[in-house]
Amino acid sequence: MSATSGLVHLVDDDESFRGALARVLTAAGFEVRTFGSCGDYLLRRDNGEDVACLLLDLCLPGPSGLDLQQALVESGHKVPIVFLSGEGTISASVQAMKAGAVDFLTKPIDAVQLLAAVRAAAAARTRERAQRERAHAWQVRFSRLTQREHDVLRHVVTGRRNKQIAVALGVAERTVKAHRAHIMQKLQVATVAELVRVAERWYDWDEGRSDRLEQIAEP
Amino acid sequence: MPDLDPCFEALLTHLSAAAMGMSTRNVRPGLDEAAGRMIRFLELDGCCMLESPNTAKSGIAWRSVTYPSQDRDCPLLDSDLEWLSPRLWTGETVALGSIPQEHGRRLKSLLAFPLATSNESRQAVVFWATRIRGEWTPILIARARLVAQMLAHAGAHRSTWQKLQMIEQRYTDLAESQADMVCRYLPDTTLTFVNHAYCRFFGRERGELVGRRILELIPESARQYALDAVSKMAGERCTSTTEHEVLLPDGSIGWMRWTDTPLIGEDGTVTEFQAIGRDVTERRRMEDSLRNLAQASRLAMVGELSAAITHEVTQPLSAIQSNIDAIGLLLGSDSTHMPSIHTILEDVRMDVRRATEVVRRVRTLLRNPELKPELLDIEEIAAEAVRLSGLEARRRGVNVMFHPGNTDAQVFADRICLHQVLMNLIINAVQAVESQAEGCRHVTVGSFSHGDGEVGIAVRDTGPGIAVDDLPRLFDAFFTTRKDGLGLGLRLARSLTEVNGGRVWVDRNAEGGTTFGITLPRPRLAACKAPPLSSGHSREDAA
Repeated sequence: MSATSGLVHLVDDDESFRGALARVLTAAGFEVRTFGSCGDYLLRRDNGEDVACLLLDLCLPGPSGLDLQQALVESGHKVPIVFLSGEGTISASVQAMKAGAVDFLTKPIDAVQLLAAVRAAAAARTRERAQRERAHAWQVRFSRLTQREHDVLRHVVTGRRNKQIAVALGVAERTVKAHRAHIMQKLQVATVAELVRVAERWYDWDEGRSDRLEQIAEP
Repeated sequence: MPDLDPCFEALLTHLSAAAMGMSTRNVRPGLDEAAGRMIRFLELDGCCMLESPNTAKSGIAWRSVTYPSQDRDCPLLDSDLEWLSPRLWTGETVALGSIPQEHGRRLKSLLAFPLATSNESRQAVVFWATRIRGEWTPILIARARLVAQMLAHAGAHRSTWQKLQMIEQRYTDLAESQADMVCRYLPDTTLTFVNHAYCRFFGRERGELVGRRILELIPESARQYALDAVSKMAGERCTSTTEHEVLLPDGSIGWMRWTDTPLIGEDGTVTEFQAIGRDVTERRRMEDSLRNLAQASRLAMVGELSAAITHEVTQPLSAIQSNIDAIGLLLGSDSTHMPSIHTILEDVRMDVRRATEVVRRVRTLLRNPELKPELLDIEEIAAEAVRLSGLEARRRGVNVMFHPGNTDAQVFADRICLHQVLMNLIINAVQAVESQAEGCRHVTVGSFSHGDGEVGIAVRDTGPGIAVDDLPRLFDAFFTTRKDGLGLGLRLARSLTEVNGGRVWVDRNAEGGTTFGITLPRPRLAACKAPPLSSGHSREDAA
């Protein structure tokens, strides 16, 4: 097998089950790291690792799977979680899904369902990562704009014409045109429509009206 | 041979029939009547049998029977025996046609002769008349001798019967006076004897029972078992104790406990069985209701544990499922992982064993067997209870520790009872500590010995403890401190332990929390051989 399909973390207190599930994932091309409890996971996991999916047992001795999910959400770790549960209580699954779980599988776990869920989580993870990278790229581009260029851009976003902007800023219309050209170049956008869409989202995020910078990369 | 006239012959036949053919219990009146007629025919007034033990030095005979018996005023005096018996014992026939008269003497003539002697005694017969007869003719003497032999024979016959009757009477008295039931039956279970208590228990007359087969008195379901038991007893020639169901006259089922002994005939085969039984219906009913209550409580326990049990069965099943999926994936790929399939299969087998074990434990709780004391290791039972209740404890974040310590923790008790009591105590403890802060939820189960004679298991918790006021009522029915408690658990635990000869106790820990425990006597060798508490259809051989 050349490259793995991704790294999967598995938290379950049953050793035999951990081993069996790891075998399925390994056979399907995933790399697997297993943990016996939430504490074990928090202590031993490597923060730098790019984890495609966390398979998390709902019912664990000590802190439960839901407790760990809560802790991860609060600390900003956005790993996709697929819950595994023996009992499959509705209230627990609702709570898990509300807190952002990707899927909720009931034991015994069917390999087809498991791999579908893990692959979906991995794909979502990849997609998310790509978005994040694109968002990061926008961040870099926006950081290159000067204060004056930002002033011009804010007026552009509100739909004002060059002449109006020139009056508002007290500069020549020609100067505004030059700023606009620089902005288009620095942000690497081809059309005014794209410029307006991107800039709108950027300022929403920058001024705290939105907490998702990633949306800037969405079409 | 004396010539017999038809009349005498007819009388003789009558006498013979009277002596031989009559019911043994009624020899006397019949014989009396026949002898009376005989004596009158011979024109005599009476006769008596004389008997003297061979060992008696004086040789004086005593009168055993006098005919006719109503003649209380026998003319033969004791003083007559003094001179008569020495002559008889020499073999002389004494025939006196006329006896010298004394004032008021009624005996006028007499005919006496010895009869065959036995090892034990010698016998003679004396005929008399209260008138002077003169000469005793040879034909009269011959006839008298014939009658005498007949009477002697009847007498011997009767005395044998008397002895038998006496023994039988003594036996019957003994049997009758028993509150216990006594019966005898043939190998095909036909009753040959039943005592009064037996009749009373079955609500039937003796006549209705003797001659009937015991099989008709027991429920159909138990008949084959009874037949097997009888044939086994006959084969092994051993006394056996059984407890079984019987059909009462009102159609309800009763319980009896029987000790049966085969009686061996002269030819060495089992001819009959003697059985002594006791009505244990009341005790059985009490035990049954306790057993059913215990069963209900175990079912409730399974309900309480159901989430934990599901979890515990699901885990190995999940591992099995995933291992099988892994094998499928490995087989589908052209990878070189094939050898590892054997390892995976070994894991699958292990998980199958694991799931089976959980199911086996739960099944123990679901069964409702007869109480059956046996020699057990109480620590082993505690370990099993810790394992099963541990499922629930883990779910509730409680740590149950087990400290076996006593090397010899043997008791004589019913396994299921003890298991249930310990489960109950441990689950109570788990629930007691559940509300405590994390890290303070400990349940410790350990064994202890108390002197030489007692051994037990203590369940110690770090819960909030029990109020002093509540302690005395703790084992009462329907007393509970829990919102959803029924208040039957501890009451039942007490009954189940007491049935096994033990006791349940409670102590407040000095440092907080409570300790519950059971204490049981160490088995004495004799106790282990004692009949089962309520063995149902079990049997055991007498030592």
